[in-house]
Amino acid sequence: MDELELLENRLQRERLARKQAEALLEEKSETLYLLNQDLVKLAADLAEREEASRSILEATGDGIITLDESGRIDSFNRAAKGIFGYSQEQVVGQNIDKLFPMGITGEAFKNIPHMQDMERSGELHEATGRRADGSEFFMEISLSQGQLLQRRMIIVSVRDITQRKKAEEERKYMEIQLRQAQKLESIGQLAAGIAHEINTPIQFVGDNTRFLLDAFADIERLLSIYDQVLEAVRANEITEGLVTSVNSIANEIDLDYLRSEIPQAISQTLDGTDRVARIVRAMKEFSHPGDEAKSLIDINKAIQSTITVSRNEWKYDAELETDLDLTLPTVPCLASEFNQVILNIIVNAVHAIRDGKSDDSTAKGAILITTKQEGDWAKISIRDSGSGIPEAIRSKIFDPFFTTKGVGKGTGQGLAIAYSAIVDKHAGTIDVQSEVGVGTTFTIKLPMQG
Amino acid sequence: MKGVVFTEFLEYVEECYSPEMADKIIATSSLCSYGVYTSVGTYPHQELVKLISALSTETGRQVPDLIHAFGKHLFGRLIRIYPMFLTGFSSSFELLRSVQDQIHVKVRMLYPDAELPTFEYQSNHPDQLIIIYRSKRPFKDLAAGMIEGCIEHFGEAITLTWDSSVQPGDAGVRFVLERKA
Repeated sequence: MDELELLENRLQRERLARKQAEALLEEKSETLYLLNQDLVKLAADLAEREEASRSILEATGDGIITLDESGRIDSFNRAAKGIFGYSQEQVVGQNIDKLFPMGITGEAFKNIPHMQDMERSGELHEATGRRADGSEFFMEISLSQGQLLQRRMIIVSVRDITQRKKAEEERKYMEIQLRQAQKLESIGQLAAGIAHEINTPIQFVGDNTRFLLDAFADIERLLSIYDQVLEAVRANEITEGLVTSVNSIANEIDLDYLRSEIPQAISQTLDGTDRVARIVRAMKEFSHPGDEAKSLIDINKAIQSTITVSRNEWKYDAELETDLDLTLPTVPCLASEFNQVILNIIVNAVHAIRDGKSDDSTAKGAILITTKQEGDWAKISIRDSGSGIPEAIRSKIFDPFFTTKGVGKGTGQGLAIAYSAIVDKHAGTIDVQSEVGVGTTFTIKLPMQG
Repeated sequence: MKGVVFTEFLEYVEECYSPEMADKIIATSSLCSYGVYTSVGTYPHQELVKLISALSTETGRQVPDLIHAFGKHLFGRLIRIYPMFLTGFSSSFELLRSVQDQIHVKVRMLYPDAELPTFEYQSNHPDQLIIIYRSKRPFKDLAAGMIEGCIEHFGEAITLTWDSSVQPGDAGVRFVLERKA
C-alpha cells in the first residue's frame, strides 16, 4: 500500500466521521431544542402556578406565616399583616416569639422545631397573639410542615378569633342568664302551686285553732262553775242547785263532744303544721341556693323533694309513683342542677299527658320515677303515659330553644338545660325513648364517682 | 462503547505502530462502521475486540497485553482531553474513589446513554484500596491498564493486583491497590 492510498483511506474515514459527527450534532441540537421548548413551557407553567399560589396565599382570609426550623419567619402574607399590623419587612427574619407572647414554648408550639409527630399537623390550637401596637388578642392557629428542597418549612395558619371569642362569651353569659331566668320561671310557676299546697293545711289549722278557741271558752264556763263547786265543798255548803248548774252547763257546751273533738283538732293542727314544714323543707332542698360545687347527695331524697314542690303541677293530671332503690349510695352531684332537671322532666311529662288527653277525659295519666344502681352508675328513669315525641323531632329535643309548646308556654330551654347539666356538668348521660300515643321515658345516668 | 475509545485506540495504533497498521487492522476486521468513528458517537464494543484481535494477529502480542497497554495510554489521553476530571485530586486513591459517584455522574451528563462499568470500594486501612469492578464488557485489562496509568500519573509507589473471584457467581473483578511502605 502506497502512502497516497493510505492517506486517501484515512481522509475518507475522517470525512465520513465528520459527517457522522455533524449528523449527531444535528440530532443533539434538535433534542436540545425540544428540551428547551419543554423547559420554556415548564417554566411558564411553574410561573403560572407560583402566581396562582401567591394569589391564593395573598387572598386567603387566614394569616399564613412560614418559618424555618429555628422559628425564624420566612414569609408573612397579606392577611397576617392585617392581623398583626406588621409589614413583611418588619417581621421576616425575626423570631416567631415577636408575634406570640407565649413564645415557642407555649402549648401550640411545643413541637417546634422538633415537631416529629406529623399526626398533630393541622390540629387547631387557641393561642394569644401580639400585634405591632402591643395589644394582645385571641387567635386560632394550626401548624403543618412542608419541605423546601433540603430544608423543612413550618407553616403557621393564623385566624383572629377575637370577635368569635367575644360572641362566645356573650352567648355563655346569655345562657347563664337564660338558665337563671328559666329557674326563676319554674320557681315562680311552682310558687303558686306551693301556695295552694300550703293553703289547705293552713286553712284547717286555722279552723281547728278557732274551734279550740271556742271550745276553750265553753270549757272556761264549766271551769267557773267547777270553781264554785270547789268553794262549796270546802265550806261544806254544797247544794243540789249547784250540781244541777254543773250538769246544765256540761250539757250546754256538749262536753262529751268537746272531749272527743279537741284531741282530734290538736292532732289535725299538728299534722297541718307538719305538712307546711315538709313543703318548706322540700322547697329549701329543691332550690339549694349557693351550691356551686358537687357534694354527695341522696338522689332519692332529692327526687322526693322535687316531687313535693311540684305536686300542684301534676296532681290534677297524673298519678305520680316512685320505685326508688333505697340502697342507692350517695352520688356526687350539683343538687340544685339535678333537682332542676327532674322538675323540667316532670313538668314536660305533665304537659305531654295533658296533650295526649281528650278534652272530655277526666282520667289521669301516670308518671313513674325509678332509681337503681347499674354498675358504677346511678340510673334514674322518668316514664310518662303522655302523647310521646314524634321520631322526626326526637333528635332536636335537647337543642337550645327547641320547643313544641305554644308561644309563651315554653322557652325551649328545659331539656337543653337538662342535657347540659347531666352531660356537661356531671359527665353523665341522658337518653330518651318514646312512642307516640304511648309515652316517653327519659333515662339519666350519673357516675357514682364524680 | 463511546467513540472516544475507538478514536483513541486508532491513534494509539498509529503512534505506537504505524498508520499502515491502523489501516490494515480496519481493513481486516470486517467492521460494520468501516472504522469510521467520532469521539461523540457510540459503537458496538465488539468492534474494539475485533480491532485488538487483528492487532494481536499482526504484531504477535497477546490480546490482554495489548488491551492493558492501551488502558494505560487511554488514561493519559483522557486526562488531557478532560482535565476537569482531575481537578481537586492529589492522589490515585482519591481520584479512583471518585470514579463511581463523581466522574461517572459527569459522563452521564454528557452522554445519558453511556453504559458505564460500576466501581464498588472497600478498604481495610488507609494504605489499601480495593475496587470491585463490574462491566458487561470483557475489558478488565483495560480497567487495570487505566488504574496503572492513574498510579503513574500521580507518581505513587503502589502495587496493583487483581483477581476475578469476588464471589461465586459474581462476574466482578477485585483490584487491590497497596501503597508501598
